[in-house]
Amino acid sequence: MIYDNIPYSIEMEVKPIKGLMPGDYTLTIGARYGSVSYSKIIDLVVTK
Amino acid sequence: MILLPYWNIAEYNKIWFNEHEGNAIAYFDTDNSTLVEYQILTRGVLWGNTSNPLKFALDERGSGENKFGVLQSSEITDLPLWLTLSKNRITLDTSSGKGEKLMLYVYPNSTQFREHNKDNQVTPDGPIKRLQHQSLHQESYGILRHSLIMIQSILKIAI
Repeated sequence: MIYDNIPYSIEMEVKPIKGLMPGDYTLTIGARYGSVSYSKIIDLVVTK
Repeated sequence: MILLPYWNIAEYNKIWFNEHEGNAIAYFDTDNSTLVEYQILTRGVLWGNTSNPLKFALDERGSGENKFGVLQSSEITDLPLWLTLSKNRITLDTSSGKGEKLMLYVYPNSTQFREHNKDNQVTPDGPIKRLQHQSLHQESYGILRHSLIMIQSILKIAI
């Protein structure tokens, strides 16, 4: 297997929408190719 | 969507489980908070458009249930792509509306992409490039809408 040394970079911005309740969430960001999905899970903290 | 995990086995910091309704076998790697899902390619209408995957084993000594199938070990190590993120925690402030930016890095497995391209190379119009060009700089309340990037769930775990 050969993984490219230079990755494709993607910039994302996550903003709260009106009415979002404060608390501890998890955010899952993933990509799928063929029959395989690969997802990263991070902590998402919403404050008031 | 409820994937209905039913069976699990923990080994080497990976928790393997079935996705009964999701029609997949998956593992969660506790070392790096990564979820990898392998879709099962067959489905049956009588089983709710799934193949009804239930029990499984990680080696030849275990027993299964309901369906015969195998996920080759090469499929586990030879993933088509993998991802990294610039942060493992972000904070949103509802009073100010302030969010956070993060970078996602996609590493395609060139071996597999070459196998799927007639001209034997990763092309600018290949799936990863399309993903980058069409959606990656969109900002709409923090939600990227391209189908290839799935913000699969925002699950509240505490109020």
